[in-house]
Amino acid sequence: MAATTAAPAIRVRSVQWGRALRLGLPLIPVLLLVIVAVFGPAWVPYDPERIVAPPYRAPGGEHWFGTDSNGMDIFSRTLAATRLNVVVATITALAATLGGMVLGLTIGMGESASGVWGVLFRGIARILDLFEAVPAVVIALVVVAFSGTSIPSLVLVLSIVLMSTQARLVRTEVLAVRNEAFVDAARMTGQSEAGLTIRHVLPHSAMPAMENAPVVFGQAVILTASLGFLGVGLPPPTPEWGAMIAQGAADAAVGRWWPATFPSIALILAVVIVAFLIPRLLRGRRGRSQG
Amino acid sequence: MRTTTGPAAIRRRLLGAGGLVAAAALALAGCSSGTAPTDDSSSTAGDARDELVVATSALPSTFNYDGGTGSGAENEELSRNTMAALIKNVVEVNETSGLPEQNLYEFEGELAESYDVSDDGLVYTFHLRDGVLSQAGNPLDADDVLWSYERKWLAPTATNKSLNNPVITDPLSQFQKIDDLTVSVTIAAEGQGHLLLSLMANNTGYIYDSDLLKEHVTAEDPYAVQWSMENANHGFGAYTVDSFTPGQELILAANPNWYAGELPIQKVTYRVVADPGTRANMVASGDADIAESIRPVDRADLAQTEGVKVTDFAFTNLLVSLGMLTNRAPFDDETVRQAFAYAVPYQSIIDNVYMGAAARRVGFLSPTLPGYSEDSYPDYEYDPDKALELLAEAGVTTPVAFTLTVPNWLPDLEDAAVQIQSYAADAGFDVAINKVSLADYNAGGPAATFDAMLRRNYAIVQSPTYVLNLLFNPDNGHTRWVSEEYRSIIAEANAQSDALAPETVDLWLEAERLRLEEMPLTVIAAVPQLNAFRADVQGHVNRSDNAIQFSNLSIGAE
Amino acid sequence: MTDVRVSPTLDAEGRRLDGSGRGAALGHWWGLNRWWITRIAVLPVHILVFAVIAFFLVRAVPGDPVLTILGGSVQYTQEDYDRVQQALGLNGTIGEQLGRYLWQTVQLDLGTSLYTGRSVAGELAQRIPETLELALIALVATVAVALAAAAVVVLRPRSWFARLLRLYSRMAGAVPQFILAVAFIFVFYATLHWVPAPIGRTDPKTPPIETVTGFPLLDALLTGNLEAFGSTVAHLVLPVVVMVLATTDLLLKILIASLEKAIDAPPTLFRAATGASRGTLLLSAYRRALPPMVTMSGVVFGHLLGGAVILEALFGLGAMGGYALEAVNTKDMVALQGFLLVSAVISLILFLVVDLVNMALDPRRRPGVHVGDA
Repeated sequence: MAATTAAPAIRVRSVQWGRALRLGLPLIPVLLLVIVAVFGPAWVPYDPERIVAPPYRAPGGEHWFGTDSNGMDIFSRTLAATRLNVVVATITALAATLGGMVLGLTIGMGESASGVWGVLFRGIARILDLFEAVPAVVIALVVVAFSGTSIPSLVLVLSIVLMSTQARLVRTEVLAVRNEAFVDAARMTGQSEAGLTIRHVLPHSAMPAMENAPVVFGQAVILTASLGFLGVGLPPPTPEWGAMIAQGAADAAVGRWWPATFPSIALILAVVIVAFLIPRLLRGRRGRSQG
Repeated sequence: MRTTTGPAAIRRRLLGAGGLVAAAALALAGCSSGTAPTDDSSSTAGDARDELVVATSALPSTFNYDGGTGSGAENEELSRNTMAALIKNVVEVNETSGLPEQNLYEFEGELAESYDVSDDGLVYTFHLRDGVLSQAGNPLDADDVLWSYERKWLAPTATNKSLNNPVITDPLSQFQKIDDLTVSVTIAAEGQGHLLLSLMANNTGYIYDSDLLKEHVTAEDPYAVQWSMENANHGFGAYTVDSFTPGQELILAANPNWYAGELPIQKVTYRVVADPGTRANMVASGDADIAESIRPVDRADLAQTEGVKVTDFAFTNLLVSLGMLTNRAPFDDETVRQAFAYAVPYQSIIDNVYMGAAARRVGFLSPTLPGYSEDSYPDYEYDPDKALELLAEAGVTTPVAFTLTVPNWLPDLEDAAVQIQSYAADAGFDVAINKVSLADYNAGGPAATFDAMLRRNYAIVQSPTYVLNLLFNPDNGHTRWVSEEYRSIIAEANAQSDALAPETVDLWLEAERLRLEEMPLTVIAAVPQLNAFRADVQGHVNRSDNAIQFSNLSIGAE
Repeated sequence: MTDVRVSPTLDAEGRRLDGSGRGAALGHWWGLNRWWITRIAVLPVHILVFAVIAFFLVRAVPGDPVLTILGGSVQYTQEDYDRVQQALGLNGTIGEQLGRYLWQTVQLDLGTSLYTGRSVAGELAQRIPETLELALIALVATVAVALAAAAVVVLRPRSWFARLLRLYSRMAGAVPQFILAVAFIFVFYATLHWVPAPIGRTDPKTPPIETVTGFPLLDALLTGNLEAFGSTVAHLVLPVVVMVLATTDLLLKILIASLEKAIDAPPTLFRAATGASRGTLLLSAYRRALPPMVTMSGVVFGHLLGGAVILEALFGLGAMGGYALEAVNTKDMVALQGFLLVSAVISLILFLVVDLVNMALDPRRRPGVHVGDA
C-alpha cells in the first residue's frame, strides 16, 4: 500500500516541475529583452553615437558585429537601439490600447443614441473604418510631416495609426455586451450611463484589445523601423533598428552583409518575443495553448 | 495502392500543381532574364553597342524648369541632353587627368556657327547656323532666341532669371534681332563678357522651339510653360524623349535633326533603382552601362573592379560646404563662426566619407583662374584647441549647441554630418543632426530656419561673379550674410574691362578672403562625380553642370 | 446572437404576411436586394467624406509649397512669390480652395501636381493597375499557399512539416517585408544571381509593352509580347515571394483556426457519421471556413498594398508606392491628397467586395435580417 501511494506523489511533483518549466521557459527571453532594453546602453563597449573606428570593419576582433559606414560599432548600436525601439513600442502599445479602449467604449455606447450624438458617433465609427483604408505607412508619413521626428512625436504618430484597430476590437465587444441583461439591470438600479459603462461594460469588452496589445507592440516596432527605413525616422545617428537596416541595405547589395543583418535579427527577435511569447505565457496559465 | 481521392491525393495534386507553377516561373525567369549577368567585362548590357542603360536614383520631375520645379541633377541632365544653346565651352584633354574637360574660358559655337565681339567689348553678335531644324521640325531662327529669353523673363513661374545678374537684366532691350540668323546682345560693362558667354553656354541659355510652343499658348499659360512641363521635345537638342514612365523609366532617342549629324549613341534607357548599392552592383555585373549617384565607398570599390571605370577629373566644381545662419544665435557672432570653422574635421571627411577621392577646397573660385593663389587666405584646418580658444574669447558657454540640417537624399552629406558631430564635440560644439525632405530643405534655406546646413552644390556658370554671389543673396541666402564690402569689391571687379586680368583676379581673391574672414560658410571639399561607367563607354566630358552628355559618348575599346 | 424579428403582420423580410399592400411586389424586391443596394449606395458618401478629410489633413501639414518651388532656385522676389502662388492655384481662401477641389474631384479631375505639373488623375490611372496587379498576384499566391499549407496542418497535424507551418503561422507579421526584401536581394541577386537585377518590371532590351488595359502582364499577353511577359514574370518573382512569405502567416493562422472549428462543427460530424469520404469532408470544412478567410483576405490585400510602398522602391517598380513617397518628400499637397483619396477608394471598394461576397455566401450576415438589436 505504501509503495503505491508514494509513487504517484513523485510523479505529480515531476509533472509540476515540467509544467513550471514549460510556463517559465518563455519568461526567460522576455526578461532578457527587458534587461537589455533597460541596461543595454550602459553596458555597451563603445559609444553608440560616436565614431570609434574606421568604417566598414568586418565583424570580429574588437568589434563583434563590425562597424558601419560611419565607423560606429554595430554591436553597441544594436544593443542601444533595443531600448529605443522597445520603449517606443511599449508606450505605443499602451497608448494605443488605452486610447482605443476609450474610443471604442465611447463610440460603442454612443452609437445607438438618437439624434445628433448618434449620427456623430456613427460617423466617427465610419471614419475609424476609413482609417484602415489607407496603408499605415502612408498615414504615418503624412503625420510625421506635421509633427516632426522626435521621440514623443514618433510615439504620437504610431499611437494614432495603431489605435484604430484596438478601438474597433473594443467597439465590437461593446456592441455585443451592451445588450446583455446585466447592463439593463444596472441601468434599472439607477446607475449613470458613464458609471455603468466603466464598471460593467468595460471589464467585459476590454479583453480582445488587451490580448491584441502584444501584436500592436510588434506592429509598432515594425512601423518605427519602416519609417526609419524610408528615411523619416529619428535624427541620425540615433541608433534605431530600421535606420540601421536602411543604411545596411545598400551595403548588402554590394556584399557587406553585417550592417543590416544584426539589427534585423534583433528586430525579429524582439517582435517574436513580445508578440509570440508573451501571449503564450499568459495562455500557459489556462493549460494547453491553442494554435 | 494509391487512392485517387482523399486528403493524401489532394495533397499530392496540390503539391504537383504547386510544383508545376514554381517550375514554370523559374523557367520563365531563367530563359527571359535576358541580361544573364556575367563577370565577363565585355558583357552586353546595352545591345548592339549603340545603346546605353543607365541606373539612376530618380528621374526628372518635369520637362521644363520654367515651371519653377525643375532644379535638381536629373532635370539638369535631361535638359542638357534634350536642349541646346547658342555656344558651348571648348573641350580639351586635360594634362593632369588625361580626360576631356571643359575649358572654362574659351567658347565655340553650338546652335550658333560663330560669334564676334565689338571693339568696345559691349556687343556680342551670334551668327546662327543655317538649316538647323528643331526636334519638331521647325527651323531655327532669331525669333526662337528672342522668344526664349522673353519667356525666361516673363513667364509667371520662371524664377531663374536672377541668375543672370548683373549682365542680363532685360533681354527685351539687350537682345536684338539683326536678321533671321543673327542676334546681338548688348551688355553694360566690358568685363562682364565672360559671364555673358558662360551664361549663354549653359542651362539658362537653352533655346526653345518658339514655333512649336507658340501653338500651345493659352490665356492661362501665355508661354506654354505648363504644356512644356508635360511635353518634351520642344528644343533643338541632341536627344528626344522617346518614352517616359514616371518613377520607372525614361528613354532617350537620338534626334535625327541634330545639327552635328549622326550620333554614336542612338538610345539611352534610364531605369530607377532606388538603392545605391544595387546601382553600383549593376555596373559591376554589366546589367547597366552607367550608374549614377553611387556612394563614395562603392565608387572606390568600382575603381578597382575589372570592366568598370570611374572618372578622376582634374577639377570638379562639386563643393560640399556648410553655411551658418548669421542673423541669430549662436552664429550671429563672427568669432563663434570662426571657431566652428576650426571644428570641422575636413581631412577625416575626405578620408572616411569620400574615401580619399575628394580634394580640400576653401573657396568658390575655380583654382583654374589665372593667377589663383590662396596665400592671402586664413588657414582653416581641424584644430579643436584653437576652436575652444576662440569660443573662450567670444565669451560663450561651451558646448555651443546647434542643429545641422542635411538633405535626406544625399547619404554622403549625412555621413559628413555624423563626422562633424563626432569631432566637433571635442571642439566645444554640440551638434544635433536634422535630416529633412526635399520640400523642407528647399524651403528652409530661404526661410532662414536652419541654424546651419550642409550643401553639395555646383555652380554651373564658372564665372567669378556668379560663383561668389550664388549662395549669398542677402534676401534669401541660407546664411543671410550681408556685407557691403563684399558686394562693393565684386561690383568693382565687374566694372573692370577684363574679368581675367591679374588686377581683376586680385579683386576676386580679395572678396573670397573677406568671406573667409567673416566665415558665414566654410567650404569643405570638392568631391568627385559619383558615377561609374562600364570600361568600354568612352568620351565622358567633365562639365560644369556635371551632367552626362550622351552626344559625347561612344562605345569602343577599353 | 442572430434573432429573427418576430412581428404579427410582417415576415422576416418585412413583407406583409397576407401578401397585400401597395407595391408589395416592389417591396418584395427591395427587401430581397436591400442588402447590396444600400451597401453600394453608401459608398460615394464615404468617398466624399474622405475627400474632405484628405484635403484638410494635407493642408494642415506645415510648410509652404510656394517656397518649396522657389527655394529650389536660390534667388527670388516677392513678386515671384505671388505669381507662383497664383499659378499653383493656392490663392484664395480655404473655402474657395475646398470648393474648387470638390468640384474638380466630382469630375474625376484630381488637379495637377505642384511638383511635376502633370495631371494627378492621369498619373495615378497609369500607376494603379501596376500596383494592383502586383498585389493581386501576391494575393492569389498567398491564398493558394495558405490553402495548401492549412490542408497539411489539418490532415497531418503531427508531422514536422505541420509543426513548422504552425510555428510560421504564429509568427504572423513578425518579419517586416523590407527586411525580407533586403535579405532576398542580397542572397538571390547579389550573391547567387538567380534572379535578374531589380531594375524595374522588364529588362531594358525587351520590346516595350503596349498599353491595352494598363495591367502590364495582361497587356503583354494580349499583345502577344511574350518576351516582355517572361521578363516581367522574372522580375516579379522576388517581390511576390517576399510578399507571400510576409503575409501568408496572417492568413494561415485564421484559416487553421477556422478549419479546425469547422471540422468539429455538427454538420461536418454529421457527414462523417453518414459515411462521406474524407475528401468531401475536407471540402465541406473548407467551405464553412471561408467567410473569415474572405474577410482576412481583404485585410491581407490592404496589407499588400501598404507593403508596396517600400517594396516598389527596393525593386524599382515605381508605381503607387513611389508616387506617395515622392509626394511626401516634395510636400506636393495636390498629389498627396489625390493619392490618399484614391487609396481610400480602392480600399473602400475592397471592403465592399469582401462584405458582398461574405453576405452572398452567408445570408445571415445581410443587413435585412435582424441582428441582436433589442
